[in-house]
Amino acid sequence: MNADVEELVAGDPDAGRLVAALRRSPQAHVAAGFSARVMAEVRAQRRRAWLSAPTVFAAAASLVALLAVASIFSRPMPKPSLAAWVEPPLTVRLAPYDPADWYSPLACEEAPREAGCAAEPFCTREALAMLRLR
Amino acid sequence: MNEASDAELMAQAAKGSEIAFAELVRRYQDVLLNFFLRSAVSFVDGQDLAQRTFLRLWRYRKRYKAGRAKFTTFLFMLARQESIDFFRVESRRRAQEEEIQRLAAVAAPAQGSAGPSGEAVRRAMGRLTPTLRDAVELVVFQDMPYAEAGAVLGVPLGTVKSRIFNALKRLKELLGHERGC
Repeated sequence: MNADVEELVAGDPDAGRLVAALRRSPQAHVAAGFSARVMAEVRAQRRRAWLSAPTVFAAAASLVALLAVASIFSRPMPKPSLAAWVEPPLTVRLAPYDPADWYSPLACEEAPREAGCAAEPFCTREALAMLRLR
Repeated sequence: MNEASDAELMAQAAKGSEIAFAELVRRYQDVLLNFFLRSAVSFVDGQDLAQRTFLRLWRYRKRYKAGRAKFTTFLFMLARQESIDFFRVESRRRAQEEEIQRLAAVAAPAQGSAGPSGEAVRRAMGRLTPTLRDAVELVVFQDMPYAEAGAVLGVPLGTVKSRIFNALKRLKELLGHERGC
């Protein structure tokens, strides 16, 4: 009995008897398995805490950061070669002169036309030349 | 493990030790059950509230600072919050229960001179106002000094003292009436 309660009951025998009677009154006990149920719930709470929104967000952010870092390191690096550091020599390539280049007919148009003309019985050398010049 | 103080067990529980926490549950399960039963709740509700208090204790285990308060002060603060939440939700149902208990008290047989039964004490406690009941619960049943009870209830020491005085007076009437005095 703490000092405050002792002081309370010291001057009042009735209060003392009442306090003693209250303290003597039978106490109830929890049912069997109570603490096991509490601990099971504690474990469940722990699991739920792992899956809480902040945890999931943190995990997702970590994953994104990890992927970003991985993508930087997995990029193919250019192979070092001497050619990359040496300027190519300046050369001029002259194409052979061809007057047909002036007209620049598309080969895919010209060839069928020429082939078509050659198949005709009236196709002459002049007609073919005209086709080439068109 | 059994020799460890409550504060030591709480420190271990704060680091995640379920074994330490289970020991605290075993130590205080009956204490909390009786705390709630004296608030005139049913046995099932009392167990439920005790369980919820332990879960609240687990959630807030890192907030407990051994140097600032005794473990029991912290535990009963949580229990009281749980009780307040419960009665806020269950206020209507409780009114009905009180009426049933009042009727049962009238019909209950007279007790012998050995002292009030556990049920009679619970009934009498249930008929006190919540403020008086909390004061008796902490000071008389949990043997807390006035200052500590005041810390749990959030009232000055003098208020606890006067509540105890009034509560004992009322309990004397209620239990005397039950015994047919």
